[in-house]
Amino acid sequence: MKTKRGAINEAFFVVSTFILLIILTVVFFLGISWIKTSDYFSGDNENEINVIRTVSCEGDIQDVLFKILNTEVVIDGSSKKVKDAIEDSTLTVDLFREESSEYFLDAFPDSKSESIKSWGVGIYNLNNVLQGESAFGWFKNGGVVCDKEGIISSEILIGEKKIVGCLTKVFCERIK
Amino acid sequence: MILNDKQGEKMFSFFWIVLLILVGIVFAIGIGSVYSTDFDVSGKEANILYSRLYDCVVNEGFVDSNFVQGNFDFFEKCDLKESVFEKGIFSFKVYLYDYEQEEMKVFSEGKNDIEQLCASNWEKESFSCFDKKKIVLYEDEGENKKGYLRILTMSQNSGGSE
Repeated sequence: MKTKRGAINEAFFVVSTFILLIILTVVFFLGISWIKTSDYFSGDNENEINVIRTVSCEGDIQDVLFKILNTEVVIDGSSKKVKDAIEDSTLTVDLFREESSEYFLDAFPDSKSESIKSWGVGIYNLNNVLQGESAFGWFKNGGVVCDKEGIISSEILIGEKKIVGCLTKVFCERIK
Repeated sequence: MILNDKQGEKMFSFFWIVLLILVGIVFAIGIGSVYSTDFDVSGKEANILYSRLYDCVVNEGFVDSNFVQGNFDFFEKCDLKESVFEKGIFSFKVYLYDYEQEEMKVFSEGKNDIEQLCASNWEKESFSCFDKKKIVLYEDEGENKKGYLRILTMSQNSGGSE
């Protein structure tokens, strides 16, 4: 049999739980309405920036590689794109280094201050053999070898060859 | 120690009140901290807007030919909502320079004085700017040329409790 005090406690429990639930509900709906009416999330402004681009180092490397390949250079008096010069093997190592340095240092300026460049670029054949000759130099530039571990790389095929660009993971994390 | 019924009810009642008070306090602190925090995402947004604009203006290293000719529709090509820029929540200015740094084209949306605002000490203000200039390629009279694309973006979207 319940005592009088027990009954009071039970009533108190029920009432306080009820009040707690009401408070929770009110706060929940207040929160929702605040989010809905706030400027950024309101229905009128939906799709303001609807796709958040993940900052990807691969994308940035690709962008640089495309610029290198589409740059026009003068070889033997005639102007041609770097990608065509790579394909017909007329590109010189000096030109390759000059163009790649300009674009990589422009895209990743922080890497200038480091003693060893945090990027690398090279021209390889489809069997991943670096192109060039020891007498004339190798088609590579930067301080990073692109086939090592801890490297983020991106490549573009050019006929039987490919250009590969890369950044160290540490550098990529830092510039994100 | 064995408590009788009455003592047990007293204990229950006391702890229930303490529990309610604790829950209330934690609840109040939680709600208060969420509402009072100023989520300043404007810096990230300015950066994201820069990336969005760069990605739609530059394709495979080349500046879109419509941009070079002066008839580039940013809202359509970059999938941006015009009303947001009319309200001034976001603003941007895109410049194309030739390789000698001579200004060739300029487009802007949002606040007209974005350049002055971003040149000011905006880090103490309620908005953020992002400004970057990159080498790009563009076609001019059938020739591929090097130039610079500068994109200046501004976000006034604090995302806070205003």
